[in-house]
Amino acid sequence: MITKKNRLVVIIFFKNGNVVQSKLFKQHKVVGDPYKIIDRLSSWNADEVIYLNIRPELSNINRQDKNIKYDNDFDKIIEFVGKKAFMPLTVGGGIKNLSDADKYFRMGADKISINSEIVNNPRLISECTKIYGSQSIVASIDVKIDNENVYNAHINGGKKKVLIKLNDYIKKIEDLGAGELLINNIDKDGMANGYDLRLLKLIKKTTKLPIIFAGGVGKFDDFIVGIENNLNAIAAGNIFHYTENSYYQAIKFLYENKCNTRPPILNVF
Amino acid sequence: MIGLINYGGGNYKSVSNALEYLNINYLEINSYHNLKKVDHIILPGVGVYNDLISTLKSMNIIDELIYHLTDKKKFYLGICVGMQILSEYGLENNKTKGLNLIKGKVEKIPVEKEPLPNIGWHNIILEKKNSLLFNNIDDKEMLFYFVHSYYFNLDQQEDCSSSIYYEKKLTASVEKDNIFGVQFHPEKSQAGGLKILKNFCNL
Repeated sequence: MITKKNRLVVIIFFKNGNVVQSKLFKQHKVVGDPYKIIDRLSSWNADEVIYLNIRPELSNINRQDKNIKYDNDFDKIIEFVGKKAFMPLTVGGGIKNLSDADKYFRMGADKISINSEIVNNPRLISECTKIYGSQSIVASIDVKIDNENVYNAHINGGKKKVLIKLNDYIKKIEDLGAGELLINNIDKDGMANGYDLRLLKLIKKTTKLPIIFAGGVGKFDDFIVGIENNLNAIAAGNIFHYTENSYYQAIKFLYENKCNTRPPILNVF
Repeated sequence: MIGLINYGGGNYKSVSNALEYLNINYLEINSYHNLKKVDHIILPGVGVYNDLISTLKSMNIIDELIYHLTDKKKFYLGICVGMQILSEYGLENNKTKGLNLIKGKVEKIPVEKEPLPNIGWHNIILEKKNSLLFNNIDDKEMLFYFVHSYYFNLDQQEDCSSSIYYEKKLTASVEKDNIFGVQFHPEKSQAGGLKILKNFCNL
């Protein structure tokens, strides 16, 4: 008997405090109201949500730069969302030290996601797992394929290649104690042509950690392909911004196709 | 009055947000003196068994808590590690004595194939059909969010109010007289979870 459900995870990307759709980690189109999204996710009875600040450096410096439009402050959005998110909430982007981590946990995050600091300051992960438990620490890996058809992890929003092999990188992350992996695929980002199954299989072979896998979902069938390939946490960002009640429609589609998800419920609050 | 224990870590904020959303008044408890002012006690927990016990020890709250639960029969709801410490002992990191209010030990989930931690939503199986904690929750909402690598291996099945399967049968919640505990996170389980908190506060 199985009691566990597959989970449909929503990733929301933020840049300059705006919600954006992302393509290849380079082009970003502003969509939606950053404060209202959480109400929609609640009424769609969402399984889980991840708030990612994809250009945290823009929030910390260059504040005076008139060319950059700051409509909202990421931290203020998280503070707001934390009070209303009665679903698992992960926050990531720009977490550099224990006080950043502590800040988001205090705002109501259940998990934090760490990416660049895996390389820059690996001790941060082990320190965080000691304080918050490994289940609260998500290691986020942005993967890109190189000219020789080899997958490599990247940090700094996809701008810097990690020098060690992807397999070894994941092993290192396991040793540091992270409880979950969030895999995003730079080449697939915003392309809407389905998950990279070769990458999924490769990562599943490398680790036993729970995997949240994103990048490439363009239609609801793509989620089913993920589930058929033993992916338990199917994730996407952009697709949820295209249509009305998109999350509800997606979970309904998966439920009706016997994908072992939670049942669709609308307007539960 | 509901007392919500704040020991500095865990997910105090998430549970207090949920109580505020439900318009339930609560008192933040950060010292054992306040335990006498409340008749319901919630201990939210994210983290590690031995850490939580040593933190509660440093607050000098353990003996007082046991007194209020066993002599005063106050209602208790332990969430996640807050449930686990009801046991005789836990084996996370090192063997640590618990509150010893429900017989059994907390040990690592024995898995062969499935990943640890067990993260995600489970359809729970009600073992105590009349449990007041699960009152008024329909089947569609009997799904709760779990995040754990350790589980409460109960000595007496009669203390188990619900369970899940993760390769083997695991305790999802415990219930013994005035003492309740849930392995899952009601504060993060949408409408069904909020009903659990409401049910407990209405006891």
